[in-house]
Amino acid sequence: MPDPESNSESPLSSGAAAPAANSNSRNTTFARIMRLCQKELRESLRDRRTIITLVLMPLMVYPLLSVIFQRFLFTTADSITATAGYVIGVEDEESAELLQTYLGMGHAVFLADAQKAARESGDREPVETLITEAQKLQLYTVEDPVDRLVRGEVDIVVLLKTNGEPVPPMLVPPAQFSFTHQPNSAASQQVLGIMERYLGAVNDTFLQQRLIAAGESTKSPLTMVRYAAEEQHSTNFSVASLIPLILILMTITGAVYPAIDLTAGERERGTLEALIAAPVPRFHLLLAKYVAVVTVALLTAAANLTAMTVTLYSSGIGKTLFGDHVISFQSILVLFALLVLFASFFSAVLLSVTSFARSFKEAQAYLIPLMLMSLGPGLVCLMGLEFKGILTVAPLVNIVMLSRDIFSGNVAAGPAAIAVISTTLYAAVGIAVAAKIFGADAVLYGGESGLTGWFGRPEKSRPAASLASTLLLLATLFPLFILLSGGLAQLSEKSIGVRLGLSGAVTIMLFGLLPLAFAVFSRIHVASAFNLRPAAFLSFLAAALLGFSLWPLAHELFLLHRALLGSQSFSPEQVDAIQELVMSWREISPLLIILTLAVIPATFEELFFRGFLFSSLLQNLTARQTIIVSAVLFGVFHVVVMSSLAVERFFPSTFMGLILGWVCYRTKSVWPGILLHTCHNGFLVTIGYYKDWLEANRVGIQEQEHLPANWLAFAALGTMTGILVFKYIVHQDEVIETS
Amino acid sequence: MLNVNEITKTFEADNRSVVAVDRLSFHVPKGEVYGLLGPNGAGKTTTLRIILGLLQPDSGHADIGGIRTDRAPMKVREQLGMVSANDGIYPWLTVREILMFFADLYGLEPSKAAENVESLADRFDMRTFLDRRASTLSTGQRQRAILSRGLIHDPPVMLLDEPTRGLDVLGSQIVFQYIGLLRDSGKSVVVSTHRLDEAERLCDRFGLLNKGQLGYEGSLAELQERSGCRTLVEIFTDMAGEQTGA
Repeated sequence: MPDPESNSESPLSSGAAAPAANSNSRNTTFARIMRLCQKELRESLRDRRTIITLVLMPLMVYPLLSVIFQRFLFTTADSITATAGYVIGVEDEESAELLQTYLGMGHAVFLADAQKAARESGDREPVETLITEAQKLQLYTVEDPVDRLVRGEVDIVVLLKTNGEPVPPMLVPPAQFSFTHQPNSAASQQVLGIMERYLGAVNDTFLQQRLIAAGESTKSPLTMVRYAAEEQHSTNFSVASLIPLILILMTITGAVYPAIDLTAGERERGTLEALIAAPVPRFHLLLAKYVAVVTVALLTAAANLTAMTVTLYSSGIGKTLFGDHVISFQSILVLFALLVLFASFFSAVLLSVTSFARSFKEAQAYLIPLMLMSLGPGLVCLMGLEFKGILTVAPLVNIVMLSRDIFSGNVAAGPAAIAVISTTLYAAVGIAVAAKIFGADAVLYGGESGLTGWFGRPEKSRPAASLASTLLLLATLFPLFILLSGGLAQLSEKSIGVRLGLSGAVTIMLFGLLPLAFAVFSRIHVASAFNLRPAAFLSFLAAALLGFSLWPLAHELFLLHRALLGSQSFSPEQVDAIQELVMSWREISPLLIILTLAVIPATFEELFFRGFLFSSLLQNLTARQTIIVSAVLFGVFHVVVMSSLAVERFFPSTFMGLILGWVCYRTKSVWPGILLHTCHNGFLVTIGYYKDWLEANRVGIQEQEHLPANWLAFAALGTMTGILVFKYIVHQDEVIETS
Repeated sequence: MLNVNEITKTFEADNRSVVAVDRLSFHVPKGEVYGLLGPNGAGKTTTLRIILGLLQPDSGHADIGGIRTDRAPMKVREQLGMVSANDGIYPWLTVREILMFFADLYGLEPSKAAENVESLADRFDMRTFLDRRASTLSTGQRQRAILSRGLIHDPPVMLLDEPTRGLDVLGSQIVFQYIGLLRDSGKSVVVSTHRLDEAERLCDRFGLLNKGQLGYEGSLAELQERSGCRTLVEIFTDMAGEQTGA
């Protein structure tokens, strides 16, 4: 009961003073978000429902799955042994005949031993087993046996090499058997073991005979070499493909409950309004909840990964599923990193959905379709499709397929990088959307504005796009960019004019029309968002100077990056294709080349990176952060070339992005940057166009060579002059403003 | 201390606009308990949510000591405490953890927060359950924890939204004592309720809301004089009749 007489000091002592006793250290944004996270995590981890998902599920699911797998595998193996037998593919009749002979010899050795043992023990079962086993070895002469192995039509391929050596007495000529097997197929592993045993027995017998004869060489006449079919890039279905899918589904399971509880659950309990009414930005509250959900999801992922690994090793099912390719510690770490990325993405999606819900039940109803949709990528993964093209940017699908490839030890860097970048972008969009919905009026009080309120056209115009809108645009742009770049690379049969025209159209659409449509729809003031303010005449001169001076420095950065990396990203075929492309430029007018490869990309990339993106970032970040972030994104987009990754382009492009960002920030206009970018691109394109003429006149510029020192000195001088002129212009402007 | 100036708020429902609050203005000085009275749907809760900055008014604004909710919402929220009948509590946290969490949200130093928790524990007789998880508390204990939460940062303005709804006699008694305590400590208090009989006992001045509009405003004596009626129920009925032209 309230006691008015007790302690008159706090907290009811004064009705006038501001209550918050602020301290800088306590109220830094980061520290506060961390404390908010602690509270959310404490709340989640004390909930027994979270603990059940986190600990009990992995403890139960994997042993259960291992039992099912084992039963399935044994049933499969038994059915193969009982009915169809093992299908051994060989190239020709001669190989089949020879292999049959040796297998018969090896089998006879074991059979003799078994019969001897049976006579002594009276147990004939081993003899019967051996007889049955030998009967199941079925040799077939087939064309392209390795191809058939990959398609799952044969269990193993045996290729014979005799080296043409003379057949020694004892009917065992020296020969090499190459076994190509399916590491993920139980039947393939079993038949491999049987054949190695039989042929090994032939070797042993032969050696024994030789030793008996004394003085003869003890060298084994038969050697056996194994080849795993995965090196042939196997893509057919395997039970092992299910493992990453199970891990991902379990991680989702871990994230679902805290996501609902910390959003819709909070509203249902009646704690949300008091939380939202506190003097803390909603985004910080949401971020704390997001970190808590990701943490619980990752704890679940770690628990599942550990339980799965222990089960695979302890039950021996790992060897059966993956054959010789047993999962390494490194693979597990990489997989966990991927689960971190996946959890970051999916937690954001979950929070977007659950923030929308007004009750626990409503959230569950929304999540059921999402969970069902999450099974789709798993099915795509099981279809055995190759991880490339649209699949690398398809949300969820890309992570599941990347996990599959990590498990099979068959990861390509390009698609992996695209999957990681696109998923990171999707996660950022998810958080932005969740932040917009979380605690919004319509959710709190059941208003009817709902989706139109959040995603409809805003009523007031604004000078630049919000960070959420920009992230959404980036997340739309990046996959489109990957897809269209890949599409353009497939048009090699079209004329160079058509290809360049299409390339220009794609650039205009992606970096010009799409952001423009976004800006118009969101009532963003086009002139200010795209930094279309006029700039001083002198700044154009400085921009041109930088445009012509920067390329040698960028070129040196390119070489430096390549030297540090130790290799180049393009295959020799791709290098040939690029050189062929540059050669084909000469079929058309240099003006068209300059227009499509210099003017259009420079104009529209600047409008997006130093316009729309830059102005949006500048609203939320410092100038330095804005320049760096926009430059890194500029670098990332330039790494994708002809549907593959040219990592060595990252540094020079980011370097150019930094300069262009600085110029834009200093001049507050996109126009000088457009001129700078055009001069830079135009100069490089011109060099490419007149390469033969330049080389004929001994002005050779080889990509792999450093530029002459005097060129670099001129470039440095030009760059410094350009920068000084810009500084002078800015100084003049400041003087005018002050006066 | 608290000023509400000409606020208007319209909601869209069933494809039509409903005016929830219509050019509402009132003022609550220090140490006064202001009763915002009216039937369900009169606009009381909407008004409190606008003061808290949880809803944006279509026009008008509220301010606390000159700080406007539309211009400095975070600063205003630091000056406000809110307790609502719908308030819940975190079941997996202890009462102390809940109070410390809200103290942190309002930017209190840990030492100050701990001091306030101890003080509130004494005032609201919470010593026995301060370190128990909220899921194990009785209804009365939960209520005291929620009332304490609203005061953890010692705000100069308190907003109470239907604070006795759903409570029994004893529970209501705790709320009455709580309001008395707030008045005694010099806070500006706004109590929104449709229980006119209770309001008569609790509040210094009254604002009678009907369909978003402030009909009558003043002390009980002023309202009695103006309407010629004796009780708040009669005064309200009279006002509603006037507004509908009956």
